[in-house]
Amino acid sequence: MASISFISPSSSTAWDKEDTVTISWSKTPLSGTWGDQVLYLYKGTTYIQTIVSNLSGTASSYSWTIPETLDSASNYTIQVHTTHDDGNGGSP
Amino acid sequence: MAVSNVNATSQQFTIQDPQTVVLTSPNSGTYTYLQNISIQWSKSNFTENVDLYWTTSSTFSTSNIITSNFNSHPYSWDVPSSLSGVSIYIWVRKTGDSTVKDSSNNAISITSVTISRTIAEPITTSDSWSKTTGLWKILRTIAEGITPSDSWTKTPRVWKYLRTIAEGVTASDSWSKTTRIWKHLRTIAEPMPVSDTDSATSRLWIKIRAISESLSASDTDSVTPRLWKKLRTIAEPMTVSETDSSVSRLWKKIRTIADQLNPIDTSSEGHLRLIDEAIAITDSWTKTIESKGTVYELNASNGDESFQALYKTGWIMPNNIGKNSIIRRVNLDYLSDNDITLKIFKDDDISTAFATKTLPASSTATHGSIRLGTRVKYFLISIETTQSASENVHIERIEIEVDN
Repeated sequence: MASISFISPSSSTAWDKEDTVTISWSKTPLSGTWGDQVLYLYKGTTYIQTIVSNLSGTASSYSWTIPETLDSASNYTIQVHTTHDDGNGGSP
Repeated sequence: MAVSNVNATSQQFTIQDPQTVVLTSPNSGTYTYLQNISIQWSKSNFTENVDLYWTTSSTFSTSNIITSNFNSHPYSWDVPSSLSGVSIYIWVRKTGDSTVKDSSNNAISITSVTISRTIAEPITTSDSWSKTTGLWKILRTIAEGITPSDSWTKTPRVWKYLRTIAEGVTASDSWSKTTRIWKHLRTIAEPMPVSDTDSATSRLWIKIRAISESLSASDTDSVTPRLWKKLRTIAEPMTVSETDSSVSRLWKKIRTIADQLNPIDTSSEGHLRLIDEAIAITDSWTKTIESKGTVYELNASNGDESFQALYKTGWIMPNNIGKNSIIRRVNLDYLSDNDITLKIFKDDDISTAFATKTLPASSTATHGSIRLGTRVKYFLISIETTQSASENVHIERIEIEVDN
């Protein structure tokens, strides 16, 4: 079963506003076809903004400049949404 | 399943306002090295202390620290004198974190304290550039008046004034009522007129010339007798024609105690001169003495000195050439403070005596003999004493008994 695991940010990450930071993740498996990816920013359970959409399925990192307008908080998370085609053509 | 949705969420992380520190003062300007500079800054999003530095370029460096881990604000900095004439940048940074720092916007010039005022200018104690006690010096021209009411100097002063010879000095000069001695240095090229007003007293002129200078009788600055002295090294040749050395000279040679005086030194071996000997200028002073001798005086009181008597006859041939004779005995009448050794050599063998006998010392005349009975063509008698402090040896008679 396909899965994604974040490398950065981690629980110890503290990013300054207006800094340009790198968001990175790893995908399993490397085989098959990964669809376009979307990164979302949440504060707690509240959706804040879309960081990037239509990011190529082959990408595993993204450089992001943190907006100055964001609130300072320690409960931000990032979600990645994508698809994976394992090439089995619909067989279970 | 061929295509599946995949979602993932990161761990919670922090987004924060950036930590900044901004140097707000000084950002430019000129300061003297004695001046106090108030260094000010503002910091955001951190509470740690700050470090202050200065650099000579706009590139940050921790080489020159003003203060570190400072927990107050602002910082009052007494600019060190070593920075006089230097342009610097002042830096503030979060203590130990060089990613959070700022510097003055422009170079700050540090100058030395120089100030010039005229006497007419007031000097108030509120002048910020000098709070310490100072010694004020001022140069005036003779035309300037000096009144006791000058507010900038209440202490006694000694006025010194330098004049050129061309300036007149009048008794009415209000700034100098004491006796003065005027001194004037001239070069030899300068004429010295009698009318020089600055020198009415006798003067003694001293002149030093190099030997190469010609000294003419017309030199007006030297009419008294002079004694010329010249120092030479021993290596220099001394020619008679030199005009500066036509008088009698006493040559001295100085050696250090460490010098070895080698007998081959031709200038100093056994050369005795009487005191009244004339030493002519033409003496080359290094003539080799053709003969030399050594004279010793035996001094019995000196334990290092001793005496040894040694008498030898020549080769004695008692018979005709080629014929042997028999020496029977050698008799000796003698007086000696030391033992006498009697040795008899024969037939060209001077190295080994064929007979030896020691006769005892005797303070009165006595007789000794040695029996031989040996056949010889010719023989030699040797009489010697041991080495001692006494030289008292008398050989009264030698008698040889021979059978032909």
